[in-house]
Amino acid sequence: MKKFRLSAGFFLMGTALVVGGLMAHAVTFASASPEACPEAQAEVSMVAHSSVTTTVSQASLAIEPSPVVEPFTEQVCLDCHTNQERLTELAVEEEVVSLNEGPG
Amino acid sequence: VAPLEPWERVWIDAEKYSQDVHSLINCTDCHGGQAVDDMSAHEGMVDEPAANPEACGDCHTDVTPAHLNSLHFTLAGYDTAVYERSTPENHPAIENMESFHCQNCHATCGDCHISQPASVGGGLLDGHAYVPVPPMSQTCTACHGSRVKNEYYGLNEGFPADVHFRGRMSCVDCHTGDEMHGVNMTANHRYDGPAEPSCESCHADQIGVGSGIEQHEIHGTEIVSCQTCHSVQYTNCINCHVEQTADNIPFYSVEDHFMGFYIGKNPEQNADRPYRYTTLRHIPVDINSFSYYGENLLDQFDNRPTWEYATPHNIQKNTPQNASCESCHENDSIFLTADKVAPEELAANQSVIVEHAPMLPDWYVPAVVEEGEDSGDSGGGDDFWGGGSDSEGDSGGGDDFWGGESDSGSSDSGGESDFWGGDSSGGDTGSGNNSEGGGDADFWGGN
Repeated sequence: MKKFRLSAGFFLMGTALVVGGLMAHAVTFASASPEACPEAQAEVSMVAHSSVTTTVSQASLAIEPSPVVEPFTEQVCLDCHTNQERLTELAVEEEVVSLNEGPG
Repeated sequence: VAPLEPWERVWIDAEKYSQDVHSLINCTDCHGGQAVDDMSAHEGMVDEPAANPEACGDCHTDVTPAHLNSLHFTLAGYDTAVYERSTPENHPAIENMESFHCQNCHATCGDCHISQPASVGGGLLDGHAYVPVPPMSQTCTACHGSRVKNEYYGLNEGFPADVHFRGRMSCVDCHTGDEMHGVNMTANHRYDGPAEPSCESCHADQIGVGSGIEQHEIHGTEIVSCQTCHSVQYTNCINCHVEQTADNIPFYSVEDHFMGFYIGKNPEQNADRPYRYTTLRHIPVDINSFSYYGENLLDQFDNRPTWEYATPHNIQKNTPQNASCESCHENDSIFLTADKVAPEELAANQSVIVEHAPMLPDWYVPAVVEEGEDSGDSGGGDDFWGGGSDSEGDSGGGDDFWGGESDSGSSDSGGESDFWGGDSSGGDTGSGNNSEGGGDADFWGGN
């Protein structure tokens, strides 16, 4: 019973430490706002600038055709070459003229 | 390799191929032809796009340029050997001959990674999926069949498989991708430049002085090549020549072949291969080999030995010639002496013929052989086969070979699918040197 109490105590302490740690991290992130230092402000402004650029180029892309790989258009080839039954019917043994013989 | 059924050669495995990045490319981008639903689709079609280096080279810029200079692609090894026996004015006729009889050995990217080589009938390897590591039996030994395959797999009757094969090593375990693709190589023959692969790559601490192995300490690294002591009898071929069918279609034919083991002077002796003695194999060239294409094309026949430097792929720890000192010393029978060379080839082979086997040193005292003790003959005793196998030269039935239970008559390789290049369940590589090759079709390149 004493052991159980001890374990429960450790469990509660551990949980409290983890929660406390997470809260401390949250506070640190919140305090690291752009207003906190000039370098951070400059970074944010650069990010904001590039965000604007991206938005503009995305807008122009929306008008132009998408430069993605064209979809596979030759399903007709695959339809035949994946069909064993059809290939068995159509594929014929080629007449092979042997250009060599012997153990060499 | 069992030939594929006609439908199998062109069947695309939809599931596997859809996982392959190449499936993003349109069929006609590589193969030409038309994307229509009838046989006219094949009009103007290119069977083997990889024959055009640009087909692969457009994307695979790291490998393709090197491969274009590799011996697999250029077949420069043939040219080197044939041209050395000829004069420049005969080269056009020889090139004509090669276009009919040698070019089907030329290997493109697709011959190893997409399909079986054309020389064994072609056909897709794995439903058109790209195969990163070419399966040994369907690609490597499909071409290198008569000598390397039989030696390495233990298919020469009476001789076991190579010790590396019994250790489940496939070709690519020694022959790297860079070597196969010719990366950083400018060889005109396979024995140009440093040995690659070399025994030293894995066995550095067992070679020469300082190895602690008595025979290696005595012989060092400049007297004999490794294979001189560690290979067994191999195939020698005689008289390859071009014949013609009743319809005047030329084909080449090898007159005969025989098993033998011959030590001679090293024709490739240099800093990379400093050995005084090495194994020699008779290659099937003859002064009239190509006379179908012109008279006296090999007019410099004596410029190059017909017994050439050999690297038999049947390496064993214990062999007849390393059983005792007397196995080699003062034993002319395993040396290439003049009496073993055809009279018409004596001039060509002067540089490799050995007058007599080396004498035993003065200080040598023969070992006393107790009555009943194996005197080191070349029979099939345990010593010869490396221990643990029966005296019939079984290529791998014993527990020792495979590290587990296997029946004594067959060399079960364990059935690992990646080793054999397919879904293998049995992996029987053939029972004790039986040239039938066992029953596992996958091993030989089928499914």
